Amino acid sequence: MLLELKNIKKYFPAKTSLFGRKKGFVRAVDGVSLTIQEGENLSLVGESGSGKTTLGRIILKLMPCDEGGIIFDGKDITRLSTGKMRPFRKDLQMVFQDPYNSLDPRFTVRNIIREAMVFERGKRRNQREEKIRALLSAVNLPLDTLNRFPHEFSGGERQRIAIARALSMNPKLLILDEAVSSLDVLVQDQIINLLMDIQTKFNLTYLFISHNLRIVRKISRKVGVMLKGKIVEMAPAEEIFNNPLHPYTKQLLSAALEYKVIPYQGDPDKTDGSLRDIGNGHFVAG
Amino acid sequence: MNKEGKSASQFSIAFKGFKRNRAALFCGWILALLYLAAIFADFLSPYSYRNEDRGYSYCPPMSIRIWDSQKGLTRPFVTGISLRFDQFHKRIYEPDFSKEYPVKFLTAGDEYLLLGVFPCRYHLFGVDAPGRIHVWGADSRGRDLFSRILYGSRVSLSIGLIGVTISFVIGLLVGGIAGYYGGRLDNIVMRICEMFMMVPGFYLMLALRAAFPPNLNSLQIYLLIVVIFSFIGWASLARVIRGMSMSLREREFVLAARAIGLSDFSIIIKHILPHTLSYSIVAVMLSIPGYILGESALSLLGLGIQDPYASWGNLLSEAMGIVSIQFAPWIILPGFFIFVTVMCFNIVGDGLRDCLDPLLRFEGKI
Repeated sequence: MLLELKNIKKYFPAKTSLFGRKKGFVRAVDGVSLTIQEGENLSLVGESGSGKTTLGRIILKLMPCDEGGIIFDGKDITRLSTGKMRPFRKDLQMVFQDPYNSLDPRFTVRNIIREAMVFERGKRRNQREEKIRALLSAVNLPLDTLNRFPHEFSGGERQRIAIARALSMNPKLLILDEAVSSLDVLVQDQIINLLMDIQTKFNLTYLFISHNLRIVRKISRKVGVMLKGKIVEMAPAEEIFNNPLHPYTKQLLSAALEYKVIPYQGDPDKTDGSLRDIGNGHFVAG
Repeated sequence: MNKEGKSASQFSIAFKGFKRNRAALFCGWILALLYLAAIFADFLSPYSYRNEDRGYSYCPPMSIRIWDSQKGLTRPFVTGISLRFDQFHKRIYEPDFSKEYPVKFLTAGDEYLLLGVFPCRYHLFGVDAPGRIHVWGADSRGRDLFSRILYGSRVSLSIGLIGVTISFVIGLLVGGIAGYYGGRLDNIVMRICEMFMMVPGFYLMLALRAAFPPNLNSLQIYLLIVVIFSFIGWASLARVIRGMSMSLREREFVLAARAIGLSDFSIIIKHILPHTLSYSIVAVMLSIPGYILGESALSLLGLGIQDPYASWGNLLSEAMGIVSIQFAPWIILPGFFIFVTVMCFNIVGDGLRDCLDPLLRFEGKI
């Protein structure tokens, strides 16, 4: 088991009273449990605001969760301090949504990647340089890009740089937070092909956060459907696409792929949040 | 990308825009000249700041002549001065053509340390004793105003730079930390900032000056003024930087740096503060005049740099009476220098803001 989430909850205060007491909450993530095996790409799909990104950030401990447990590689990392978390950072990396935003515009490509090689500080300069070059060629970027700044690249190229940065730490789990959604369709395909390519080369597992079902179908082995902070359906990819059970899943599929359905008007909050086992590794809420 | 294949950072692109702004560039050169003059003040000035001759009290600016009534065209010279009093006991200086003192270049005079290191006694120009040259006149004690303005520029121009450096280091760090961590720490720090900003600067300055003993030597006073200014100046910058750092910490490259496992401090130094740079460069430029004016105001009131040491402010303190301005109008020249410097800093600051604006807009977003 590479990653196990147990009943993760994250509420954001929405309203505060006059004296700073928190009154209302937005339930960004509301009791999510899931597991990811090594090499088993999981996709989280759902509309904007369904808590996918928040969940990704919680796994990376970029924000604390209010409740629940994160077990990574057999160790509980939920309450680790920044310092104690550092060794795990190596194994958990993220590629962010907006490639125009996730690379520091004042850093050259070389410095962006070099900065991430925290665990190789001891190594000699030319060894590190060699590794940087190897990473660049792994993501199919020419070597003369090293001294350039992010603003000189297209979105797809930037995303490759971001992937190279994440790879520089040799992570086990790579969280791709809407990593291709801001790119155009052809470039999306290129990046997806690249990702599938390097998966075997670098022995990676992906947690793919997306609302793009076409891409999800290509890359993931398991798909979780999120709605209002809850997982409403979780099944192997083919199961979801061939046999969607939850009405919300059906609606998502119909919006993306030609699949006729009546819109889902229900509220997942009305159900108790537990998932029913349908068989074939297929779970559905309600 | 330029021809050599080297890439330009956004900063270097922005500064190309600055070069197109004629007014700002011109003012930049004036400032550069002023600072150069301050560095080489002791070489450029014919006398030291304390070289006085009471016989030349309020001597008006002398003209350098190149036409002799007998010899015709000669090398430049200044005439001697004859002094008489009119019926109101006012000093009347008249050129005494019987004495001619040729202006000599690279002539020996008062000793000084060039650049603070090399002992030297040569000055750019001067005349042989007993003649004196006062191109911009002399003050009440017969000290050369030109020399004293040059020496004074050392204090007045450097105090702005040093004060601004200290207060901006404090402001950047405090603002960066408060904005990055947010929460209660941010709340406390910002309330402290507001306390400083609440008190009118000039009165705080006077109060702080009064809190220290009056009999300090010149260097101590100089340092004291710098400290006082930095003490007042950091708060407003810290507040703006705090806001910027608050928005920057949500940016994905900061999240990426946290995911890498960089420490908070190195994230603030490497990823947050550099992005506030375009704002702070402009803010620095626009706040230096405040320091220069502040020092001048303190010295003008006699609370800053003390005689015989010169600063533009205490040179102006001689021009406080209407009588002295009427009889010796040249003693308000230091005021002109303050004006030019302040204006140049403002125009350069505006020019920088114009050219860094695209960056500002980029960094202000989200």
